[in-house]
Amino acid sequence: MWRERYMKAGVPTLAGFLALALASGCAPDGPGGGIPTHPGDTYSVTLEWDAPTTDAVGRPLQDLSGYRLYYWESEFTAGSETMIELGAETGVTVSGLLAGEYLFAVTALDTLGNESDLSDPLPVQVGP
Amino acid sequence: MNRLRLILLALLILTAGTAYSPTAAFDPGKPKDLEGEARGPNVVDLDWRRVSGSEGYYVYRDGNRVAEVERSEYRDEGLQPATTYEYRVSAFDDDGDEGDLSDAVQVTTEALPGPSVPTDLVATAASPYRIDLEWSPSKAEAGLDFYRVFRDGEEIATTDNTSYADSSLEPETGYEYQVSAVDELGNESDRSDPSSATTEAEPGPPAPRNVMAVAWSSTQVNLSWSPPAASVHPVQGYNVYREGESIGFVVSTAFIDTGLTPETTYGYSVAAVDTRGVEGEMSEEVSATTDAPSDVIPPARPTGLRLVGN
Repeated sequence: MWRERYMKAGVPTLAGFLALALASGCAPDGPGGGIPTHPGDTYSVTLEWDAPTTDAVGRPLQDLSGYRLYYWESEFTAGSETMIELGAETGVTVSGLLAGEYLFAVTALDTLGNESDLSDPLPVQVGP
Repeated sequence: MNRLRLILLALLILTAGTAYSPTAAFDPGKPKDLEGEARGPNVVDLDWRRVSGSEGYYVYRDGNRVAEVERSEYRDEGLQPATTYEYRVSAFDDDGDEGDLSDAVQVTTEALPGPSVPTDLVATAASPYRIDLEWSPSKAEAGLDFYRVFRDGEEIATTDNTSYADSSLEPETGYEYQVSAVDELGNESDRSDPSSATTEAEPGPPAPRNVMAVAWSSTQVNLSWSPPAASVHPVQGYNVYREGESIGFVVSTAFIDTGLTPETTYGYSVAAVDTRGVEGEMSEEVSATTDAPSDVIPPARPTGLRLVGN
């Protein structure tokens, strides 16, 4: 089934543009950045996001309490995610990542522990 | 004695005449009106006016005697095509005495016919970059040497075969071909009737692999996949489809479909788009069923997830 179809008018997503500029976002862990890399070296990734201002049905959000960061190694296999509980800061640095492809997404939590849906995912190539 | 002396003298005169004047005994003069005519590429016919009193004739070709004939005509065979020969003839009598040579006549044999025009030329697109040609063999009296292949009027190749594969072409482009035959003498036929073909379009990328759809919540399904194994042109992104409807284009290999209905099964497929904007083959459809609804209303999801520099 070959079809010719031009790119959607929507153009590349924000995640796509960010993925093109990965190099600045991840760095080797430990002192002396720029030292030649070896298997087993670990890296850190620093992420930011924007806080939601409403709840899922559009009412002003009064009880935001924090975030969860999820990440997967290259694919969304069920149950393969790693989750990190975060406070109310809209940014985090994740350390100890081995080189590879990762998918990151965040959720928001209210004071009752209700969790939002995932943000749009951010693919990140970690490592050299 | 006088009589004997007379006979001796006569004998002496006769002998001296024979010895010093060989044509004296047979002098028909040289044969006249020698004419020659080429009969095709290998044969020359000669004839000339009879010489009375002659027993036969000698035929000379390029200074060499090549035949002895009784009648005043000769067919010279086994000659080379397109070659000029010089002929003379002479008469001889029954003593074998030969008269003078005739004037020379020059005859040029006909050239061999050139090879026939190749026929039945067929051009067939074999790929986005190749057109295959086939044609019927030419006949060539002088022996066929090779064929010339022309693309859009320009010679592009010679070949001993009656086929040729023209490669390194542009996709989706029309080309016109002709073929001519060349024989061992270098004679070239006219060009064949043209045959045209248009190269195929380059395919879009193959289907993405390992497409996975995993329900994340009552309203979200997570999709991820691997790039196609190979693509003629680089992949610039992916169109994501839900139930056959396009729901987005992403440059990464992951997508989160949100705002879905709880406890509902959705089918998804993904197609890669190359740098030309051509969409390739659709992946197999995978499906996921959203979770049961919850009573609570959580926050809206965070947005703008991004990397920041260190």
